[in-house]
Amino acid sequence: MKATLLALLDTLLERRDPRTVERVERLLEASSRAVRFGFHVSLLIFDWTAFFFFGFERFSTLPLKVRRRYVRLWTRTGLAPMRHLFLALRTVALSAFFDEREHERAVGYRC
Amino acid sequence: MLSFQVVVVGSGAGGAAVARTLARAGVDVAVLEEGAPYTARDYGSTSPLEAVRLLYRNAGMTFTVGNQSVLVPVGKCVGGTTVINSGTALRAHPDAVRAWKDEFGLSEFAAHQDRLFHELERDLNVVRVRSEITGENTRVFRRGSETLGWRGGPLTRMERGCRGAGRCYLGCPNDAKQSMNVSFIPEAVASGARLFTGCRARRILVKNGRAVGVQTDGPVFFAHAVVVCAGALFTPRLVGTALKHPMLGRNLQLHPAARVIGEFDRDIRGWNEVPQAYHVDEFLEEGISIEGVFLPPALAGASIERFDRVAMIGYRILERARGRVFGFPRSFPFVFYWLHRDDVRLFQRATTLAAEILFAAGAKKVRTSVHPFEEIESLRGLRSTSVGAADLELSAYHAQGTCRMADSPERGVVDPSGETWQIKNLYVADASIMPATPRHNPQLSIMAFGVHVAENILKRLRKEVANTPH
Repeated sequence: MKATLLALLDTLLERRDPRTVERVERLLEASSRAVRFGFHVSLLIFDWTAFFFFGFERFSTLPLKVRRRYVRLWTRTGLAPMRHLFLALRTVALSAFFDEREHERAVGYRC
Repeated sequence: MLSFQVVVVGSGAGGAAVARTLARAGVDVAVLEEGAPYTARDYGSTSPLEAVRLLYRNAGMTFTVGNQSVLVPVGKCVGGTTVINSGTALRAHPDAVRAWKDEFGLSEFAAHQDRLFHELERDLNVVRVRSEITGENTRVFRRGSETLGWRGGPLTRMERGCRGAGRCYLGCPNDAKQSMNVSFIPEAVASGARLFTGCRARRILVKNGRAVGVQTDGPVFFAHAVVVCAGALFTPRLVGTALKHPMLGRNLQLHPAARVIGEFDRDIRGWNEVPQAYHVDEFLEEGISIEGVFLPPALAGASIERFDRVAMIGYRILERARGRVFGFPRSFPFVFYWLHRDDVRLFQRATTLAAEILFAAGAKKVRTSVHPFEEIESLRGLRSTSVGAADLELSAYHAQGTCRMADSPERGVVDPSGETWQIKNLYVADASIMPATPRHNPQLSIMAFGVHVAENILKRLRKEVANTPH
């Protein structure tokens, strides 16, 4: 989970913060088993789908430029379940990232 | 053995209103709350996600299933969802009261509703939002809607000494918002009610067609009467342990909602004010309600470079869709909800209207929850292109209707007094009993129903005492 989440953040924001992974884990601890399972499976699907379409490499190991293309695919696809899966992962990742006071301040919030 | 006159399951808007009314009348009441008794000390200055983790069920990740996955955040703490809502307090719309009376036979409630709302507004200090606790986010909303000539005005909220901390959805850090954990629950306890927290109700105990208590994960609570106030998503399952009814779990309405975010080239700094201070009711007849909102970056659902230069507006629709809650034992309820295509059209229109307000106020770009119009610089595409249910990113905060009240056992699970038709001394008093939406933010209506049911329980108890031979 850690590698995929950090790679996702890096793709979206060009930032990596290991504290984000801790916050995601803490949030998931408070959720139901079904949500935790669903999140981990979604992350796996997202990471490994790249393997079959982007040169036999997982998302988390692709170069930044290719990761950006991959993320654009997931965002713009006409397949709603695929888009929703990515949206859920992105929302959790961004929520955890911006939960850090330092990152809130960096975008001008409450400063 | 724990034995009370009345056991109330749930400490949210309905349960707190019931408990307070009964306790103040001298009834021996127990309130069972699954969540913990968090206070402002616990959530007042934590990070947004930490507050969500504490106060929201499932860390805020509760969804429906259907042609769209609607996020339905609910509270799990003393005070329930009132701890995490905006504090907006509005009476039921007159058309809603008329529908309750004419279509569902709730004449007694309709006759008393003015008094019930009046007393709640007095006791919870429901006041119009003061201009000194609003800021530029509200002014943007107002300016934009006035430019368009749309009818609106300040909202009313239940608060005492609000300082515009902007953390309504994370628990008020100043105990100013009169959520049930700082208002009706302490009043009920001061009048003798006992509050049991971390106490999850599993089953209603029934003997000879009468409710006699509640089995929890811990002790059994025996009672002369049981009042279920677990919310529209959970009440059907608990009531379903005592009876079967074709209406139980059905007729779920959610008021699906979303937000738009406008990016400006000047400072807005929308966090230092009441997030939901203003509303536009120009389109209420169509089923569209537009209200203020402001979320922190962690909850805004978007990556924004200049958060000090954004304004936000929230909106919701009165939907045609009716969902269904399936209560599986020992698990989160399965909530099925299928958005009607008219709802999708209405939602797209609501999004366009909200975005139009922001553009009218000078936004350079607007972010929406509608694919593929996530970032727009004009309304052209959003106005002219039809989208589908799966293109919407929705949330909902007003789950209701799943244990409806009506004047016949065929049409309602509970009768107009709040007692279930099938099991004596089993009452329901939360959002699930509203047979039609109050159209506005429902918490005051839920409390009004709660007081109404409590008053009926009191009448019954007094009658039984009077009829008991000495």
